[in-house]
Amino acid sequence: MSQLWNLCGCVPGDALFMPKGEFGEFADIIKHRLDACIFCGACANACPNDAIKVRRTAIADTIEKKGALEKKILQELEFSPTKAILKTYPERCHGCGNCAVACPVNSLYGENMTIEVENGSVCVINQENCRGCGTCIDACPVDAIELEGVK
Amino acid sequence: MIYEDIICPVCGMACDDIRVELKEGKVITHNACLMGDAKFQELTSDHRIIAPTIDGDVVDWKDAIKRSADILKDARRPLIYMGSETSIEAMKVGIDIADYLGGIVDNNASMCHGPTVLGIQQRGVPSCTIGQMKNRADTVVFWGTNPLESHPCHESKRSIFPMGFFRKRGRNDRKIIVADPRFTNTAKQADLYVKIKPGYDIPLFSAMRAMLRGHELNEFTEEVTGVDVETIKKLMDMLLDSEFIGAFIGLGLASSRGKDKNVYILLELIAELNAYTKCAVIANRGHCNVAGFNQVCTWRTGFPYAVDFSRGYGRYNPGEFSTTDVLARKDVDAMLLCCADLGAHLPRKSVEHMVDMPLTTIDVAPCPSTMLSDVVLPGVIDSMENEGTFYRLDNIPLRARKFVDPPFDFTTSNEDTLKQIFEEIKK
Ligand code: SF4
Ligand code: SF4
Ligand code: SF4
Repeated sequence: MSQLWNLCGCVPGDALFMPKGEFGEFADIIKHRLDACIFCGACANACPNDAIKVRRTAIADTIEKKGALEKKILQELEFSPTKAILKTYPERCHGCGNCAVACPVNSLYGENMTIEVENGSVCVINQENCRGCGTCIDACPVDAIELEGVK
Repeated sequence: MIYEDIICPVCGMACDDIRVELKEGKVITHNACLMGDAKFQELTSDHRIIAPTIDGDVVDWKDAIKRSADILKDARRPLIYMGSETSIEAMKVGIDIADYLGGIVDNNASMCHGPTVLGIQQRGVPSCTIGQMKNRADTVVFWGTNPLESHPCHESKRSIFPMGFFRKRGRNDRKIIVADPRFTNTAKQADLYVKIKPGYDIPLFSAMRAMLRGHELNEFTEEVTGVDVETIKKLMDMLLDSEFIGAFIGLGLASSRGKDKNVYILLELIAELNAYTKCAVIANRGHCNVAGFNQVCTWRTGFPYAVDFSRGYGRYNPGEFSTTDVLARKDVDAMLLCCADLGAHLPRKSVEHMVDMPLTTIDVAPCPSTMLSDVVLPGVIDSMENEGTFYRLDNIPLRARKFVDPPFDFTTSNEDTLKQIFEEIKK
């Protein structure tokens, strides 16, 4: 894993957070607070690179420490700009919606869709939200999405 | 106006989460695939059939209904073909007309998953809803089906990507197995792709059963099945390691050599697999309400499709009373075709008989079938212009809501049109 996508920082609860704050800005590090973790697993779900796992090792241990986030993320990561530009090829698209369902930002922001199927083909609705994580590109079976660049 | 949670009446997925926006004479859809969107665009298309015709000339609605009824009344043995893109309420009336007149009633089922239905009748099927598949399946098998092309929203809404109750991480919590002779767009997404030899599903299922029972497979296995022993072993390991297998079967089984027997042997294999794990099977029914026709026909006649009433009671024999065959053998002498374009899809010999005999078609847009027809009645797009019940591919009924009016006032639904014809017949 070489890039930080900031997706896990948007999950419910305050166990993970970006010190630089705002969603949409790039954080230089993801911090975590073990005492705030409620084991919901949302951060692990959000991460397209499987970098986070939520584990409860033993009950006693859990009570004492309130759980532990096993993390491979953090300091050693390289950083990248957060805003990505996607290029879509509607003429190749089947409108299957795999990209929209796979996009972790979509699942976090509900109504405020990043990528959506409209009139039977893909259209990037909200380029501002896109983290350029490439999950949609991997999910598309017909290569209808490309990462054009980052801002 | 924006309408939420509209049902798409195109493929067997019957997606019930379509958002339709009607704005300045344009239709904007959300969550519908390319095929589904095309159907919604019919609402404003300029080729929509809005007036009844007899021999190509626009006529009064009442005259067209009378002529349709006369065609059927005068026939010795009419064929009532109820296509799948209409509600089960309309299908019920069509079945009743065939029963009343001593004709034949059939549906798309006889030319697509008919063999699957036969296989299921012979063996019984462990099944569940696609919602259960989404929530539980950690291994999803697509055998002889390519949902990306046939049911585009299948993978995103039900089988591969969505978060399920026990599969919170969506795609990351599922293993995908695709068995197909071609490396399809669905196969591209598979964790294991099994390239099967076309028409050799039964030997492969038998090899899998042998392996399950602990027999060693020898070097002839690959020669016969087209799949090497290593791959079969990997496939069996993946299946046996699963907590819940969701198997989707397609026309690759129903329409290749073996037909209903392919399905029968697969179900035998699944019965044995179920001693070790849990496996449920769903047929990827192609047309929207084709499962609905099987349900309503079974409820009305006792049989799922291809039912003949010429002796005064229902008889069921696919191959004898199925549409392609009765048309090719000229066993019927008039036809009522509702919501399906058979003119574009049947073999030439069958279509030739459609040209020769009197034909009434109910459809929304001009197509080869309407060109062959004596009478053309404008169709209503059920689920958009009229409410009705549609069965999804897993046999779950969904009630579709109406959100616009039909572009005419002489009929409110295909059910209404058929009822008017039936009344005229009874006169
Ligand atoms: S790259 Fe695709 S999946 Fe990732 S945030 Fe952007 S739109 Fe979503
Ligand atoms: S995954 Fe690809 S084919 Fe499917 S809707 Fe997205 S861009 Fe289109
Ligand atoms: S997958 Fe089928 S039901 Fe769903 S939108 Fe596409 S055509 Fe309609």
